[in-house]
This record gives sequence, C-alpha cells and structure tokens, in this order.
Amino acid sequence: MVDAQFFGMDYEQVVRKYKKTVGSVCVMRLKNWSDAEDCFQNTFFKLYYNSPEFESEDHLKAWLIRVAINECNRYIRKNRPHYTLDEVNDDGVDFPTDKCDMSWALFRLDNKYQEVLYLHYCEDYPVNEIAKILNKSPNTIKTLLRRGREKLKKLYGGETHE
Amino acid sequence: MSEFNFDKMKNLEIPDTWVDGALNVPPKKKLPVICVNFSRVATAVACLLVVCLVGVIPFIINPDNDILPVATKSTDPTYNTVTELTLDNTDVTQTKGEEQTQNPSENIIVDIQTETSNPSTNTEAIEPSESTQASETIIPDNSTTEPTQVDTQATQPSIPEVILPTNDSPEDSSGPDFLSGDCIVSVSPSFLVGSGNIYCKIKDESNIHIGDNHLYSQQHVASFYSGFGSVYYYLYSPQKAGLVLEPGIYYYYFYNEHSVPICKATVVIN
Repeated sequence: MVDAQFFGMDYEQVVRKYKKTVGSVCVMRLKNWSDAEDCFQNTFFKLYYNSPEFESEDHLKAWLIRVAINECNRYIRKNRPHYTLDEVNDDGVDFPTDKCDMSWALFRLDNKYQEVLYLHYCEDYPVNEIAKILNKSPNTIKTLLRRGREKLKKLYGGETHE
Repeated sequence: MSEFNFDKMKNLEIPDTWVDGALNVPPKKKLPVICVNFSRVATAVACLLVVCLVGVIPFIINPDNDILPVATKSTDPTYNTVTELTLDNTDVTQTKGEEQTQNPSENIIVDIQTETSNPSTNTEAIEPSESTQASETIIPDNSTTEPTQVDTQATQPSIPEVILPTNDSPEDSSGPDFLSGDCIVSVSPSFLVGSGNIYCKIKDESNIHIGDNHLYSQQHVASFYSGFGSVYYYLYSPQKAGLVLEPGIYYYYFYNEHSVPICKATVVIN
C-alpha cells in the first residue's frame, strides 16, 4: 500500500476513483484493450512517482487526462499500430452499433475530435476547461467540437438526439 | 443542445486487473551512473593546457614578436644603412720625393651616407695618421704649382695620387681649365670595375657631407681626365657638379662604384 496522499485520498483511492476516466481515454485513443492497459497503468505510475502538487481535485483529474493522452501518443509513436475496423472488432473495444449510442463512432474519428467530444460529452467539461486540459485556445476547441459533430453526423446518418 | 449518446463510453467497464496492476507500483528505475575516469580527464586537460602555454609563452616573452634574426647593423645608430668605406690611413696629398706608404690592412670604417655621423669618430678617418709620413698639403688658390705625379709603389691597390689643379683664370690658356675646388687623382686600373666610374664625396671640416646623399648620383661622378699607360687620372669638379664651396678646408673621398675607397684628398679653398 502506497503512502502518497492527494487531497485526502491515498493512491489507491485515486486509482479507483478515476479508473473509468483514464481507461476511457486510453481505450478511445488506442482502440485496443491490451495496449490501453499499459498506458492506463503508466499514467498512474507517473502520478505515484512524480507526486505533483495540485490546486484542486479537478486539477488532479485534468492532470490525469493529460498524462493519459500523452502516454497514448507516446505509445502510438513507439509502436505505430495500424488499426482497421476488423481489428477493432476482433481485439478492440466492441461497441454495438446502436442507433442511440454513438460511442462506436468515436473510434472512427481522428484523435483531435475524439478528445474534444469525449471530454465534452462524456466528462461534461466546458470549453474553457477542455482548452486548459488540451492546452489549446477556446476558439480552437469550439471549432473542433463543431467539426467533430459534423463528422459524427455523417457517420451516424445525420440525425442527432437531444 | 444537441447531444450525442455516449452512455456506453461513459460506463465503460475497466477490468479489475487493470486496477491491480496500477496499484502494484514497481520500483522506479534508477538512471545508470556514468563512470567517468577523472584522472584521465584531468590528464587530458593538463596536456591541453601545456600545449597551449608552449605555444603562447614565446609571444609573452618577446612582445615584439621579433623572431626573425636581426640584420647586422652598424654600431653607430645614426646609420640607416651600412656601407663600409675602407680608406687608407694615409692622407694622400701632393708630396715631392716622399714615398707614399700605404698599409692596405688598416681599414677605417666611415659612413659615407649620412651627414650626422659622429665627427669624433670620423676624425680619425679624416685626419691623417701619424704613422704615415704623408703630410697635408694646403693648396692656395693662386698657387701656380704644377701638379706632379708622385711615385708610388706599384702594389695592389696602387698608391693613389692626387693632382691638385691650379685655380688659374679661364683666360690662361697655358694649362687646363680648372675651377676652384677641382681635384685630380690618379687611379689604378684595379679600381676600375664595371662601368669604370669614379666617384667623389666631399666633407667639410665638421665632417658634414656636402652634396647629394646618393653617393652614386651624377653629382658625385668624377670625370676621366687623362691616361698614361696603366694610370688614369680623374677629375672631380665641385662647381661643375653644382656644389658651391665656401672658403675652408674640405676633404675629398674618391671611391669606385663598389664603394672601394681609392684615395682621400684635402683641399683648402680661400
């Protein structure tokens, strides 16, 4: 059991609380369970080794997301996996093509749209927070959101759900 | 707001194995320590410093950077160039019946290119040596003494002879047309080299050179006067050379084109 403390939580509590967030980012990026597991664990290892000081718990969560994205990018550069839809279906995350659920469409988008759409729709981050996490300007985030939605529409067929 | 349904993404199930793996934090890998042999590094640095110092020290010791050998210079700092003019220690003048002694081995170094030579130094060269029996002859302007040829020992170089012309008026047609200060010397053929020019340089009592500093200029050329057998007579006329000599005592130094001294004459102008 580790002794690091993060806003009243120990390391294990932090892992269990943010496992979905970090895991989703890794799966969405890598589209592969086994590769996502490595990046998932490396993300929390860095939290343990570095033990940075955070201003708030939201800051801690944003930090974890940023590190997970970077770990995935590093993994991609190192291994350069080539994914096809068949590979995703065989060894990756399996999302049934549900009319209502667009989760499967995220895997077909570019990374820059995935991040923005996931953080906005799955993590409920506002544009300004997404801009801080991804280190981009709010206008850029808005543009990416708009373009991401358009692509989702194309993939889905043009209908949106409110 | 238009929403997309990402419920499945939101409720993604993360396997417990992932969490267990994240909780088992491995020990942090330590960076390999690079062992540096400081003794070798220090030795290399020391060698580099020594090489640099060896290259710089000569410039520090000799700031003038005068590495090239210094050319031989005259002991007199006033000499810009060195031209050694060896003169006989005898004052060759007109003497009747006297044997001109000449010791070629005695050399007197006189700088004939500067006008600021030390008079005291050249005094020895100018004034006749007491060892000789030659005497100084003062030629008056009105002297009617005919020039006579002094018998000389035919040694190499032969004893030069000075013929001091008279300063007769130009109307006198009995003799050559000599001007005030003119001087004739006899020159052995051994002194005639190259073009055969004989030169003359004049100095006053203060050992100040009179005339052009370039001792081989036309001003110093002595003209051929006459020749008898193996002896040649050369005339030097200051007035024809453009020199105006005030009354006083002057010393004429004759030399050839290789700066070999021929003779010296003393002329008094009244």
